[in-house]
Amino acid sequence: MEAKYISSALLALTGSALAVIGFIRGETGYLNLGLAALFLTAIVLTFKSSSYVKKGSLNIMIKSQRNLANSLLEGLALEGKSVYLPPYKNLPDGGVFIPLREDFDLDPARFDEGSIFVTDVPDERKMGLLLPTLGKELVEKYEEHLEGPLTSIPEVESAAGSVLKSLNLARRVYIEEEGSEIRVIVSPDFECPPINCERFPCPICASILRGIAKASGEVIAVESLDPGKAGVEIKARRMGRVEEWM
Amino acid sequence: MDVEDYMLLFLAVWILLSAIIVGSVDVFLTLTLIGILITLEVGGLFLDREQKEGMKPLVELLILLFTLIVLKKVYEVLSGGAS
Repeated sequence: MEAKYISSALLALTGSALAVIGFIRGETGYLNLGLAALFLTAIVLTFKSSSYVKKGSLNIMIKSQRNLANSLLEGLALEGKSVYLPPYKNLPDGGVFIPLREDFDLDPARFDEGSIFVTDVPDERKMGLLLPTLGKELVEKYEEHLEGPLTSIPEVESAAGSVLKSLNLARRVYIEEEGSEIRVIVSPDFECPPINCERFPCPICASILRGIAKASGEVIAVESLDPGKAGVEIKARRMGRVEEWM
Repeated sequence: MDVEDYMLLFLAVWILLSAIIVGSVDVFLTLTLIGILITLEVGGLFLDREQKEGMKPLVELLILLFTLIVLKKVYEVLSGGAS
């Protein structure tokens, strides 16, 4: 049995007893203490609802995931940097596309939620790996936090900052826009050496860039992803609406 | 300790001190409501939706009790003033 249930039960029992004694004797002190214990029961039950995973375990998981990603990148000879697609008819939640070549071209009409390897295209520049679900759950959390869809980049900055901070995943998220250039700084709250992340990002960076793509309604292409003083610095560029690529 | 623990600690200290120091149930309930509202406003950033939703019934109950307390006081003032 979890500690929160035991402490809540003890608080509830003590609180009820004190409140009854206080009420019968007409002593406000006991009544107040009884009510205080009952309120604290409800608060403990509500606040301590999270279950935790040790940061060390997260690092191990991320490392294993990174090795898998690197094997995929090497095995499939994917050279391009990741491209983030906003939601559109074929991909209602958007997605992440890793092009085969650096001088990529997009054919969003051929993408769908079921396809992963995009090879059925006439041009090699349009080939690549499609990851429709990478970072999707975190974007949903951002929208849950906002209580509405992401519609602007400041909203993404605010929601991602709050959600990642509350999940102890990142201390800070900063997004700067200048024309078509976008600069994102993420300060991860765990060991996160950015290796090949511009090609195959972790769900945290992917979710922020997916959020930006969704909020702007434009395709976002990553240009670089480097460790900086304040955290991981991502430079990305707006590449126009999905319709323009069709 | 994470932020949730600090918030819980602050609320526990606030509510217990209010219960011990204050000699009236009405004032205690009002102080408890104020403490919970302050915590939710300041620490809302660190709480997820489920936790905020979980606190809603307690806040609503305390607001209802606060309304009754205010109405009682208004009645006392008005009836006192009439006599």
